[in-house]
Amino acid sequence: MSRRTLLKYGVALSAGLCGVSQLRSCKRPGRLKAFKPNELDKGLVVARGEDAAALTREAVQALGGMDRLVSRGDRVLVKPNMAWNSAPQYGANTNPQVVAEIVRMCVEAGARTVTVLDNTPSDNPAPAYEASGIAEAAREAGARVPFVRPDGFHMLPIPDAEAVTAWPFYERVVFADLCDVLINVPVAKNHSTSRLTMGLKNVFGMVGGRRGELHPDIHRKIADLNRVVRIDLTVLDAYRVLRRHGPSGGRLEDVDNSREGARRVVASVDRVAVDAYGATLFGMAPGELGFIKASHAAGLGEMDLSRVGVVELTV
Amino acid sequence: MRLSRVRKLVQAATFAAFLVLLVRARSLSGVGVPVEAFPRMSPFSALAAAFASRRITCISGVAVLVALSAVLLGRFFCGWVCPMGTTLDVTDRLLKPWRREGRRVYDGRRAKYYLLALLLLLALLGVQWAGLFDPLSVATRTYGLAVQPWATRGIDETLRVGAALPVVGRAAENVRVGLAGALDAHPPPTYRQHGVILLVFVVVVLLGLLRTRYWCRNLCPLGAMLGLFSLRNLLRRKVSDECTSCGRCPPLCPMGAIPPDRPTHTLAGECILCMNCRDVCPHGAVAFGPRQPAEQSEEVDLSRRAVLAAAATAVVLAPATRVISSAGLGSGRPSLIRPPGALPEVDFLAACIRCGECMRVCPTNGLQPVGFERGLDGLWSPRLVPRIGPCDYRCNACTRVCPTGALRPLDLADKQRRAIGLARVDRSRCIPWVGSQAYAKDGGGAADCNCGVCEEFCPVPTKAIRFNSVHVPGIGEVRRPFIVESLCVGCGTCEHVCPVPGQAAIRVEGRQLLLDQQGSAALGDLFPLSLAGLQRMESPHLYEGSEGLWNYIDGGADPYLTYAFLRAGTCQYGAGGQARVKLDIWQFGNTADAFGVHNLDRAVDAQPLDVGDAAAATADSLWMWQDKYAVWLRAAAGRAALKDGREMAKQVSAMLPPTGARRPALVSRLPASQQAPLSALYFHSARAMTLAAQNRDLYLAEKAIPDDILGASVSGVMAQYEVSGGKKAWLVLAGPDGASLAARFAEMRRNWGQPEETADGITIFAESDGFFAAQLVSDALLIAALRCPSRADALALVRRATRQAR
Repeated sequence: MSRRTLLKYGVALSAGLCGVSQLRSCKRPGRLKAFKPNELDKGLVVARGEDAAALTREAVQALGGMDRLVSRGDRVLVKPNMAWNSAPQYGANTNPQVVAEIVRMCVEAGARTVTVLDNTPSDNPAPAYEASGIAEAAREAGARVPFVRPDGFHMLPIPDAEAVTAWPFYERVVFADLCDVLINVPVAKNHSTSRLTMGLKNVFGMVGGRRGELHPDIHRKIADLNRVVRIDLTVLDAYRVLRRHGPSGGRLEDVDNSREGARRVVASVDRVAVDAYGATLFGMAPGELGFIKASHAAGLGEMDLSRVGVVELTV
Repeated sequence: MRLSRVRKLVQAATFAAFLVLLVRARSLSGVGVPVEAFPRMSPFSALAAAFASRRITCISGVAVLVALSAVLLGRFFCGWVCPMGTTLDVTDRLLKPWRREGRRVYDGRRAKYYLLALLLLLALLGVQWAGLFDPLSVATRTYGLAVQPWATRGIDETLRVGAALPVVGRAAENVRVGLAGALDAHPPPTYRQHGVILLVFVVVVLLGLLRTRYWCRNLCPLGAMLGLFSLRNLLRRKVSDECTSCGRCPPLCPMGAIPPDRPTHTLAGECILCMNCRDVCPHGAVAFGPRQPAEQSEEVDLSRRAVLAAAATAVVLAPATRVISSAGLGSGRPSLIRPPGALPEVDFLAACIRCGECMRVCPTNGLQPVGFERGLDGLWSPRLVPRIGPCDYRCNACTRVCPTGALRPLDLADKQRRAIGLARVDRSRCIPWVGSQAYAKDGGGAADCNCGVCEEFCPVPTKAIRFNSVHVPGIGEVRRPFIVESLCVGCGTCEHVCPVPGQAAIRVEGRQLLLDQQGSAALGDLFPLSLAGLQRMESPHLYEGSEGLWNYIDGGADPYLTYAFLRAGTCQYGAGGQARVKLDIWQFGNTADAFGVHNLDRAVDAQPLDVGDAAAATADSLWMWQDKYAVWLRAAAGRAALKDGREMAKQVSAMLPPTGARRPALVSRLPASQQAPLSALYFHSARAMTLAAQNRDLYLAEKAIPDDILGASVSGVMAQYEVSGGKKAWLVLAGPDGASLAARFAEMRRNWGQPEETADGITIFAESDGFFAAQLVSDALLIAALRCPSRADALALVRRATRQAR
């Protein structure tokens, strides 16, 4: 083969590859993930006790068990809050034991893959993944813990939006061909802008774009983002509760570790109910929080706890 | 085995180590590997940094070892270890087809000695350019800041294209993620100036078109230094009589150290022990060892004139660099944010050898090389560019890798106490000031002007960014950020996350400052969320400084202002929407004044309680003193009783610094017997004293105690005593104020008119409503008894106090 021919073929082949690659990245986003049909109890479970992993297991068990949600062969995405380069005892990230136990239960229920990820505010997610202890614990429990792909966010329109009409969402969270079950595992914290952050606000870690722009009018925007993501189960970690200087924290004095104020795990398929209960941990009525009211109004769940069956159990 | 092959293996191994330390610097430095080993090895840049910054500590042990190795082994380092030399060996081989050995070019060995002299002289004059020429710095900088980013970015982008392909897409994506992990490239880093840095390197490489190792022969100042050290070294090229002058070795010498017409000779200070000549010699005539025949060594001829010229150049260049630097031009000092642990700016620039190691380990990519914005002086020194990446609050990697100590090693706790900058809000850009409409893409914008992203991400545990809430007509409550300067570490996280497009609305200027952690407990944090079962009903209202105090007390502030008042806060607690309890916390600059206000405020009929450093309570109020804080709890509504007061006080006490504060020294000088319980007062001004006394039904005529008897530098205590007939009298102690106390006493006597004086020096003065007696015990202590029912009581009281004082 002459040099000229080789060059010709080489150029043609790479042009073709680039073209295909270009076309594939331009393709229309696939079908959106729907709620996974499940036989879980529709109420809310609060498990209190000393062992975070046991609390998590018992809370999900009381809803009927993970196998009523996760079927054999499912691809499960677990979304904790691991946004901060901060050790577990500071309560800025979800408790690694809670995340690991969720992963274990999904694996036991026969999930094909369990993926744990978060879109951290930092461009380099490694410090937060490691410092939170979640990456290690989840890997040990059998999950994959990848970083988000910077080009994996897709602009999706938000139906019936009130404050934000379209926003880029992460592919693994919203597309049916990448995810069968979405489990949200937030931590309950004080938050300077939205006052509290729990399950509904944790959706910020499932989206991309310039998230700072979401902060003005944050309450209605939280509800709007939640209109798109189909969260099948929310497990709120209130084992340690960061009561002041959230969401980043950094002082043990600000972390409530007491039996009265913390040491519990809350689970429900109703994400608004979970946050409504979480609000009471901070001495607030659910109606005081704009994002709970807006999410309730958007039909995402019930905020009146008296209309939700609340089961309390001690482990 | 041929020694030249061994050398190549050693070169490959050291170069691999160099690359691994550089590419994986982020993760390796985290586990304590000295990733800065290579730039640390150069005795040249170490010496220059030590000269320029006047710090002998810039010279590391390895640098001394390398210098010693030259004394013993000659320029062994250049041939076997130096990553720059290895690079040039490889590129020289690649460039071979284009090299014209015969071409006449400048090939003056002396140039490198002159460069060495120039750079060291410049360093002595305080201008440190060694890092720009030191081969280890050049290699570290180029491979770390240009080659590695280009390579990782290239791999990443290529595999990204591959990841979108059918069939192989998944494999390509897995390879991409795996490689990004292995190369510490999440995401691939980028550095400013990478093109310029690479260009310099390319020029050095292209010099290989003229001669092999052109840089090492003619320009490298480190090579020159090692050459000077090796003038009497032990490992020298010796050629025996078997040499037939066949001419095989001179062309193989990469350094051109063997004159083609005199192959038995060697140029002194040029041989890098590559062993090519030894291995190629068909007669085994070349050996290396001590005792080289003197005639086989050709010394370098350094002309005196050229050395003088180098010195003169240095003397001219040193001030010139100052002129070209922007600081010299008087264009305002550029407030670059230097990395944590940086020496003061001038020393920092003198000690920094521009190797770029700190930028390599920075996990956020925020540390970037300075271009010309700091003049020639600052070229390629590190600065933090928060918009690219902030300084991670929980990272101290850069402080641990500086080869010369231009960044001092700091442990994490220490690093977190050191500010590298100060954030400032730009009110012409900040959303809560200008409204989010200004930045809305569709021109609509939200009605809500609240933003607060900077505060949310502020990593200081007690937040260095806080809010002022203001009511804006038509919009409602808007929270506007402000900076607590005493807490801001200047990490730039706020600038990084600021959602305002382009230039951030909050920006950080450099400063190096040790923060005082005393101020870190924010008063607002001392108000618990629930108090003995009652819920906090609002955010605490805080009042800062003297102006705040006027707002807080609404007019009655002046007696309190003489105490070291810092701030006060108040907050309501209740249940079922009804306020039950008000909690006030005052913070003072010292414990004595907190004690003073505590005593001043509490009711006369209060009963003592065992909580805090001191406490007393009535049915509806509770006062507590602890450390620098005075706490006041009271029933919110009218005459309601205060329930669980002690429990609440204990809860607040737990949030304050530990108990054990000492009372003011003067208090202990008051006689204890017959002192009415809880009557002791502590103050700094006669006005406070008068008011305090009034609260306790003691009306002091101005005549008795003139207003200026006390002053800011005088402290006073007073307490009530039982005297004859069950009546009460007051005893005052004032001091210490040195000599002026005597003047004040004289003033008081003058006010008293024509007082009587006793034998033991007590001045007595009678008024219609009682007797006054006073004595100046020393320059530092004045004792006075006020409004005593009888002359004898007055004298007895003063005498008792005087006895105790002595």
